[in-house]
Amino acid sequence: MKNKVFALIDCNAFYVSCERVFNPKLNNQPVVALSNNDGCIIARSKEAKALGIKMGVPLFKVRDIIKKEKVHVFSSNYTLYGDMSRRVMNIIAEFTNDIEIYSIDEAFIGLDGVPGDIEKYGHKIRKTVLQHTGIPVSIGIANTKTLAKVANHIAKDDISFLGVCSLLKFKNIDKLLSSVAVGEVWGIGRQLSKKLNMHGIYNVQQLKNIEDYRIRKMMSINGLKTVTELRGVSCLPLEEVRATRKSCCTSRSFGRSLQELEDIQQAVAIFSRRAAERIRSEKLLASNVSVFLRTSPFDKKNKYYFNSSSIHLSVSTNDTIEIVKAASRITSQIFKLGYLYQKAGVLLSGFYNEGEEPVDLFSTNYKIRDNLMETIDSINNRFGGDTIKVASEQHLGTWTQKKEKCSPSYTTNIDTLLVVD
Amino acid sequence: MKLTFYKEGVECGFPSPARDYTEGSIDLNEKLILHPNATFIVRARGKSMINAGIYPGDLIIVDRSIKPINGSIVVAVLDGELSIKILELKKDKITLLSANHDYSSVHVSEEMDLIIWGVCIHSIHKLYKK
Repeated sequence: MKNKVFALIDCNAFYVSCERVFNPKLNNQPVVALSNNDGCIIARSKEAKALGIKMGVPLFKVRDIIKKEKVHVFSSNYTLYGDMSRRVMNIIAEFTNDIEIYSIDEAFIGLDGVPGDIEKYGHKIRKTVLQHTGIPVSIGIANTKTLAKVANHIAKDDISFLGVCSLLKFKNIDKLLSSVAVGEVWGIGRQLSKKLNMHGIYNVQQLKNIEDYRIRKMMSINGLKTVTELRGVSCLPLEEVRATRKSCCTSRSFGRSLQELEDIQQAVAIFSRRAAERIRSEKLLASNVSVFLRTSPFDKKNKYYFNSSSIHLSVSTNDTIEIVKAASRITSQIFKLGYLYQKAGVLLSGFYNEGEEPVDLFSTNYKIRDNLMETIDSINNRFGGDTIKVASEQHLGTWTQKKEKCSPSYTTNIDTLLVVD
Repeated sequence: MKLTFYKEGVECGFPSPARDYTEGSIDLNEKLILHPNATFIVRARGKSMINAGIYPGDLIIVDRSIKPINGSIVVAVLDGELSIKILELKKDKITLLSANHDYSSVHVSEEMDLIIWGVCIHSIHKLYKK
């Protein structure tokens, strides 16, 4: 069987890059973006990294250095980032039908059957995304998703690759792998990385070569999959989305193509409920809801349509009813009559751990519904996932954003467009 | 915005005999925006491009996927500053022209950092003000 080819496309310092597109003065300047509550630093330009500002550090801990070095600070503008993400993903989707949107700034694609030089193709994708959106991306190409992610890390780390690293062109990748720390491997968190270090395993090359029985002892079943993938054997197909802390996506192709808004609303409500259930089981709250719709890219007879949009929730939630409401509102916005829809999906992002969400004085407290959600979950667990559903309804709520250093919604609001002399 | 387009004129008083001739509606998004993923709308400020038909407050549709050529109206980033200008490409010489005699043009020298942000493809000018 012919080996599979995967690429991971990852936007460089995505939130910072979005700000720079509309504010070119920020190029070559240290820039950081903050988490929802203006609490922690969640994106850094390479100039900010060079100042020693660490990922995830609370803002107050780096106040001094920010002041001294004149670091530009932005609240996260999910409306803008969501729209730029949509553009980037749409452009990538023009290059391949096999795309798994992994998070707001990452996508895996399948490149089986791409004729000619795959690395060149990677550069073409990179150049197109950069020119069309202004967002720089790095691309890692390999025979498995886990290796593609490692290759992506190398492409970002070593500028001599010019943003695209294909492991396919190397006869022996051992030397490259030995330069990457185990903590950079997809699915290996800080704890596991420490544990591996204690067993003398520091780099990816070492991890790849340890015996299966030791892997089983040290890591979970997913660990064995990870290592098998590092050996070049693909175990994780596209779209089999492993739990990710940045986003949660539920999407499905429809059994038959749908034309009516009502039918699609129903499907979206189901996806929303599943996504809400999933993040509840992980004790997460979402502050951003996105929905996408598309027709079949293979249907040559009918016109192709793809659209997506997002809503920022002023109160982050994992409440099925709130999420269904938001998703339903987006669906009515992006739905266009006259197309044969084949697929839809719901993406939740902007997560908080339960109990760590910002408090909004002026909003209803949804906590009272926690018991209800708990009950629904326990009933659905016992009697099967679909026992209790939401009677999907239209509702116009108010979704407003409150942030201190937030840039305008340059691409989604006609009153806050970029102004040019 | 949706405008319904009739092949025949619309008559008053009676149900329009043109009803059967409806051709769908004109979707300005579809007509004015060729590459939706690469297209951004910006708002013009200042009078430097008045003779090119760009007035303060106009909405400018900018397509980043189009290759700029000599004479293109572009959104340029010159040393970090955004502006709308006419791009003049002559042998070894790049100039950003204003379309108003009161404003100067800029010869782009070696040391300057020029990025063409996108090509302006339409200007939307408001004629009726409430």
